[in-house]
Amino acid sequence: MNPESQLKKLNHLLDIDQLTREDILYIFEFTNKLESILKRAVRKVPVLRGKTIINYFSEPSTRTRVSFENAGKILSADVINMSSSGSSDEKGESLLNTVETLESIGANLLVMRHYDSGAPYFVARNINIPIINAGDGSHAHPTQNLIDLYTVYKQVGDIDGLNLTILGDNIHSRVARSTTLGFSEMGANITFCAPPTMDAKYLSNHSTDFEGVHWPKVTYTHDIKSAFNNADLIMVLRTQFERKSNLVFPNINEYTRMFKLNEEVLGYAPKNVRILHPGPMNLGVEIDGYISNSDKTLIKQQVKNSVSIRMALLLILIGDYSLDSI
Amino acid sequence: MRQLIKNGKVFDGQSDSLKNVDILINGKYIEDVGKFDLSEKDIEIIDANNCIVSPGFIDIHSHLREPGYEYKETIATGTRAAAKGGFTSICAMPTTIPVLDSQDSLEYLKELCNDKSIIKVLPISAVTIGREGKEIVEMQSLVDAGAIGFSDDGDPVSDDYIMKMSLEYSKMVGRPIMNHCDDRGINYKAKGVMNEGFLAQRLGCDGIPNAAEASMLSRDMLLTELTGGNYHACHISASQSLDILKNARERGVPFTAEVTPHHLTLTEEYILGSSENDRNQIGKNAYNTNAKVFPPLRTKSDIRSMINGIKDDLITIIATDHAPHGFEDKMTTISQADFGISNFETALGSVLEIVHSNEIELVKLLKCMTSNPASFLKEKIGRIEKKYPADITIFDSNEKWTVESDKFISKGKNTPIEGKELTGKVITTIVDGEIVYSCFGE
Repeated sequence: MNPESQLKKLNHLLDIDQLTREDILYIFEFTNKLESILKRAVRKVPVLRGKTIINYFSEPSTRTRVSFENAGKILSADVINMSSSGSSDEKGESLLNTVETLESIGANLLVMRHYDSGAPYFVARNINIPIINAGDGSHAHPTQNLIDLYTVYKQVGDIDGLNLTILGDNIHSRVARSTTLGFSEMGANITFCAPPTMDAKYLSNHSTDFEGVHWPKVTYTHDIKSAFNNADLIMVLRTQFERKSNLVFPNINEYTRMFKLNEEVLGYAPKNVRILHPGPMNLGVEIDGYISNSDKTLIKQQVKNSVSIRMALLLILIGDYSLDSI
Repeated sequence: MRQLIKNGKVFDGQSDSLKNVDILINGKYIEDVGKFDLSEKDIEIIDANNCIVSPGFIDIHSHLREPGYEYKETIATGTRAAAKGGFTSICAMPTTIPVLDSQDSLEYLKELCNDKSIIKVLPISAVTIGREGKEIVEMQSLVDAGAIGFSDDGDPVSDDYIMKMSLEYSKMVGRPIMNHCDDRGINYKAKGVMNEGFLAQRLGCDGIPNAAEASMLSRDMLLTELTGGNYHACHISASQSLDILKNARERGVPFTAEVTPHHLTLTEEYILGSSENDRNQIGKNAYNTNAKVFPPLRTKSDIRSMINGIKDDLITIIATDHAPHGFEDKMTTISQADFGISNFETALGSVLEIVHSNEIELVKLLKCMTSNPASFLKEKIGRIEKKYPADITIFDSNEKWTVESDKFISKGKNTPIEGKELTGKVITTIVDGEIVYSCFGE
């Protein structure tokens, strides 16, 4: 199997479950090559010249939107940013009409962030241009996952056999779902650590595939000590106040006492443990400010890699590229 | 002019077997049932060879949408779709604008139906004014005007006191409170969009647990026992609900309960949509809004419980919960899409699935669609017997056809079983001696 030709058949990137280990390794290799562009004095190549990319975001975003914009611009695409506030969404236009409009205007690719789970799936079956899911509701965030995988791959090495603990509100987290799928595809073992009210118990508690819908085995514990015991990686999730999380623990004080990543609980983990956070962080809630700035974290590398990974994805979906031309 | 339905296998509404008899119709009524040697020339013969002849189907739970939501359905399209599905009497839920909660609005609906309906429409009133759950409607006046029951369907009667008082009052008016059980603490703020479980969490969707239904049903059974009121459980979907009903039956609490064709045949997997290639990944057809229905499609084991519920006579009525919607109501994300399935035209073919798979006997099933709902309604319909109205449905239980929503008469094209092959098709529907639907006239 040739992953490059396999990936050329990719019409959309809706979730990481569309990609095999080989696909992902190919994307890494490709991303690695593209990074040379970022080191040039003039950080611009003409490979997507004449292509229009629309970033359609119906939820707030800093790093995802800006890094997609930057990735598109480095590749010479015309990038249009739009958010639902200030758009016809506020005048009551339906999602379908909005995306049909964007298609008709001449978008070659839509990068889409939406507050509803499954929104990019709905859009993908109703318009004919590629969609990249930049986060849908509580469901998926595949590009963030590729960034995280790539960061670990570069900073730590082979992911196969690593133990990854996902700390915090996994039930509302699209990052948790895509992280679980992506890291386990690369051979990691996944543990969820959260209070039971923040745990997607059907995802951490099931033993076999559900009628053909793939989901890896996940271990759950509310005990941070045992969750960190063998951890090579800790992914800290943001506590999502906007998704009714205020009701799923008594108060922030109790949460931080039991689940905040600080120096003390980090002592339960092996010395060379590395810490990931998909951002944005609530400092002092799920992670201690001191820890987030320590050399144990890969947080800055995650953000740095977000541009090159997204460049690779744009090229795979709409580029007529050959590696030599870049 | 008299009509004679010949050569069919007749289910009379009561017997446990089909009979090879003919049905003589005179005007609006059944004149006689038996074998006739008639030489009159002015008799119209309806040949039901290879077909089953049943009392017209009765649906005690449907949404006609008029007045107020004519873009979803009208009385004209809804009743024609129902006739195509073999229904001769249907009950319309009060989820209209205005809500059917007063004598005036009910009289208005009856007028509209006189004008536009081709079958019998029996109105259901709201339990509370505006379906807001706060103030009980003028129940006796509404019954006097023709309401056959009371329901805030789509929403439950959440307030315990309102439910208790409605049940008390229902004893006087002699008509049931038909509750859509959904505990809004368990289905938190009614945010759930599909069955709670692995699939919902995998898709990142809020779930509606079985417990949300069973919990309120349990309250309702206790209140029915306490008050001695008239109670009907709408569209039961959760296996735990059957345990609640069983317990109530053992304690001698009176109730009736219904189940829909989709909760007898379809699982939550329909949310995944048609698979394109590899089901191991979530395909782009996932988040299929046409499979979004309230209560949600559940699991195989829930379906088994529903079928057992019919076998054990805990559920005695099959009702469609026909819920037609417009294009824009379903062409959106799963959380924003409206709940509901356009059901009239696929109901028979769907429920016959569990007959063809030998899970339930044909006559048992037909009773749930004819004589059982007739006794629930206290109407003289639902039987093939002398002096009964000539409301008759003739269907071929073996004819295969494929569901194509663009051929629906209903304005609601929202079906999760688009493209599915069903076995069993309505041939002719007769209301008060008049043919209101014939498949040959399509």
